[in-house]
Amino acid sequence: MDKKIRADVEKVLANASIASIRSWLKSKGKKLSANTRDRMLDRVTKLIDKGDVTFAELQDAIIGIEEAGGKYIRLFDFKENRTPAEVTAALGKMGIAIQAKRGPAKRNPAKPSVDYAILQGNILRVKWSETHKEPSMDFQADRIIYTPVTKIIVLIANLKSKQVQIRFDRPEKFNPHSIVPGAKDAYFGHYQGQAEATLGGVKFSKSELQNALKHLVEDQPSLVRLHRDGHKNKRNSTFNSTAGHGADIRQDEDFQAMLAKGGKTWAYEEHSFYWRPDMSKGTLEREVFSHVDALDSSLRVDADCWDAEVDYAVQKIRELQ
Amino acid sequence: MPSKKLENFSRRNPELAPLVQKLMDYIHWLLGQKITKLIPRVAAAQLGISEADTLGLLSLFQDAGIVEPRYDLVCKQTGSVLGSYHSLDEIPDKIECNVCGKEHDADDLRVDLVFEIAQGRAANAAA
Repeated sequence: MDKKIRADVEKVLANASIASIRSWLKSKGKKLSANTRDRMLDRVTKLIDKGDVTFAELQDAIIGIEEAGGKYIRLFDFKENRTPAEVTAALGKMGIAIQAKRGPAKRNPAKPSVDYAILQGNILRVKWSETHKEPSMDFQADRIIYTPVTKIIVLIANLKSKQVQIRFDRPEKFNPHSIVPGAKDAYFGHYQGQAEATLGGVKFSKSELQNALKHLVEDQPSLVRLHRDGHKNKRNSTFNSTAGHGADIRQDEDFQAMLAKGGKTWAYEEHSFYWRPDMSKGTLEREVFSHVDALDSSLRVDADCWDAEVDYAVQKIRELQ
Repeated sequence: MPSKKLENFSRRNPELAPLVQKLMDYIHWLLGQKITKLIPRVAAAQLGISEADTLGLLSLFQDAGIVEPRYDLVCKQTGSVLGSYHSLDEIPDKIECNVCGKEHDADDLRVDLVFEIAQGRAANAAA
């Protein structure tokens, strides 16, 4: 085995989970049965050595994983018309140059910074990174330790459909925008403002996701295995129910009775489910978890997701809206 | 529909008149159930329209004095309403949650816009 390739692979895969690499390799028709990090590195090194996967493909996959895995994704719409030329000008005013291809995020940047901006046709993609501080207690030394954590934020905007997604890493207690209670909102608000500015000062409104949830619950055959239901009925009562491990809550007789009795009047609020690979026409290689919250128009995905899986989840929700 | 404002609006916008009537019927039904608050997203599901359009209709009902906006402070963990306020300025920074038994700050709380039904006006308008 080429030691130089293995060292490079180890460096590139430093922050990637085994599950995300396994899913990505499966999409390329390659198997990864390894359950340890060392065996995964060996397997990927061999694939590159044999020319089955290129190093550039691996690097691109890692960028895809860091831009998708574990993200909290807020969905927005805007009404204003914007041309690519207007967006290019808006980016220029912000001092952001358009690049040809995406790149990895800076690690622990001193201040919030733009990693890249790409405009391909009507699709604008911008990535930022910044450093948060995670406090923890060193009880022996009786002091608080602040660990720097890189956070990645990705904007994907479609100028034609006027639909936007902003993918956020989960914020830590202390971020560059605020350190007081409610700091999360300052972090989310900062990047919403940046995203609106990159599009030439448009105003985002939250996408309405109730209808998408209604379809995901009621349509048959279903695109998802429904793990958790959360809805309000017309009396404003809230109901939450969670299926047992591996089950679909819709198979539960109590849930069926409730749905038959008042389902038509439900306001769908938040659901957790798994996208079914057998309904994805080959896009998904495994069940992919999502939590959709219609109250704040957001979607959460697992840490071991990669680009194509998250793109699929967002696309399906947009189609069902 | 004895509310003059709603009557005039429905006459001027006949395509929206069925929705105005449907929302009035829902408000009347809530009152019959002794429920005094209307949640826009729940009303939207009853009307089969978007939440944004429902808010538009509700502003009309607000002008007619049938509903008044309120801000409900909600514990994110349990979904329980911990307090209801006339303006955002009145909302406290911290609040003791009766349901969780914990003190919550902004990170644990959500503010929902709801509409309180002015019972006398709504009952007259629905009569």
